[in-house]
Amino acid sequence: MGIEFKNVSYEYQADTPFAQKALNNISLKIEDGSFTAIVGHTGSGKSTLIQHLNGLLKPTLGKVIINNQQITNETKNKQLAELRKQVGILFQFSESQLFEETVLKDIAFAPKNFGKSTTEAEQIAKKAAEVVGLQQDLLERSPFELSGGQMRRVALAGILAMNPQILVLDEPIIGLDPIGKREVMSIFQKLNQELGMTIIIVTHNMDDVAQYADQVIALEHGNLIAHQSTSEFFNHPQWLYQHHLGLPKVAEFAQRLIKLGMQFNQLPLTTEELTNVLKNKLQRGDINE
Amino acid sequence: MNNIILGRYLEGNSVIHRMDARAKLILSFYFILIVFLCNNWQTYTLLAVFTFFCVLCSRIDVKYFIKGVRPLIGLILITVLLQLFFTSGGHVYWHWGIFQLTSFGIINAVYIFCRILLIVFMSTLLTATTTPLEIADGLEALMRPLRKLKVPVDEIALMISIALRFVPTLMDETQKIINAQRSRGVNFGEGNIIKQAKMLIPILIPLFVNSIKRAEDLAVAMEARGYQGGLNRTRYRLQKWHTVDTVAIIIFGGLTLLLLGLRG
Repeated sequence: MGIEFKNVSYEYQADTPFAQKALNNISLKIEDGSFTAIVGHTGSGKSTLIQHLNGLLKPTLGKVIINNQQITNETKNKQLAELRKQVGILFQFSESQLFEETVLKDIAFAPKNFGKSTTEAEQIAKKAAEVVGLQQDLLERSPFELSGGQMRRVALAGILAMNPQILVLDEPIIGLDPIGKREVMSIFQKLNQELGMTIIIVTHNMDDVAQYADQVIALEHGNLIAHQSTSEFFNHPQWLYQHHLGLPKVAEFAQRLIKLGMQFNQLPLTTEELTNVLKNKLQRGDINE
Repeated sequence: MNNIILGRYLEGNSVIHRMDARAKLILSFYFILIVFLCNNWQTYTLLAVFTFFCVLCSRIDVKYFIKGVRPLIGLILITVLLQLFFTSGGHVYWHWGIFQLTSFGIINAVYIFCRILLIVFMSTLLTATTTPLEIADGLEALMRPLRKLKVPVDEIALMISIALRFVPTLMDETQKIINAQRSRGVNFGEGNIIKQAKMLIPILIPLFVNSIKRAEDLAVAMEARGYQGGLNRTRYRLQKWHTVDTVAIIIFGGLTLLLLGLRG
């Protein structure tokens, strides 16, 4: 089980003058139930990588193995239906995928496509709407009447209604207000911790990576440059800056404290960690006014 | 969708890339006209050699042009077959019911084939060496005399350049929506025609809604930047007529004379 990439390369428009290499010999393994963040510069191949996870793109070379199903260059689209049920992908600006007359119908669209009856699908849809925190009275409204944040939730509910084992998110909180961001991120955390859903998130926000993810995959120009646990990943600030990746705000602040002479056993990544360390130090009298 | 080659710009720095868009537009239209002057093998050979010469000048791989013909192959075949089997006259080699194979038919079919091929090559050459914006500017310049006939040339030009600008954006967005719906379990290209048509709804509605939103945003952004309509605007991109352009026109003039001389 889990996800495995074996020497995967992908080239857009292969064999034309526009051919473009997007992924270069990527090998990695993502365990079931993990919370993985994919980071990297714009155009580093993150979005290409995640489209391999449910067979929207098939590797030009190498193979992808997801829940024991192999995807290679020769895999037929028909064989991928089962996989698409297991892997839900929420794309960037997912509110642009809504099309039905009512919110409920839109959320029920995916389960219906995967063979559920209309009534069953609508029951599932109602549950999914609850999970993402949509009020019941919105369900009969048109999705186009909603606010941007609500539309994003409807799109997310539409993916969750498939009841995927693996949830892939491409910058899910971009363009949301701070409260909406936190709420949506905590939904993902809950899904991961309570239902054991494997979560893969593409993001530029290192604070979120530090706070929520337990491992990080970094890409650069289509190459895999790091696949480590989050704490290991942020432990080499110099290396991060070299590759145009940053530190979480808390870690940056800690760096400044280090420059002023403070010592940490491990670079704190979240506000909680930092306050705990500082509290301990104060209690032990390591620092004074 | 990304496999359509016809009509895409290929970066380069050849003589033809540097030519003025107006000249290239006029000459491409003119070329389509003179293709119809051809009526024997000498004239067709001349034009084929000339087209090949232009392709060489552009320093673009010939393979690219041949690939551009591929999507049109069905259309070309139908035309050729119709010519082949329904032309009467000349020596009759074979006939069955209304179908007949005649010497005129064969010759006509070959001519039609050459004609389409030459036109496709030349138009591919135009779009491959000229950026969409240059084409829009060129069209605007060529339409300018129509202003006197009360044709809203500036508005048309603006519409063309905005449309051209958004073609790739909309293509990307279409691909994104298709991917999103495929992830939600839609299997495109399966089932009967009615089923397939129904599958288009989850793509078309978001696409239309997004286009309207985008148009609103763009209109507001344009107004906020002081756009008030077409007249009395200055322009940032200036077109420049080079010697190459004049030379090209002279070459085409000479070519026309030669064609007229060789016509049977």
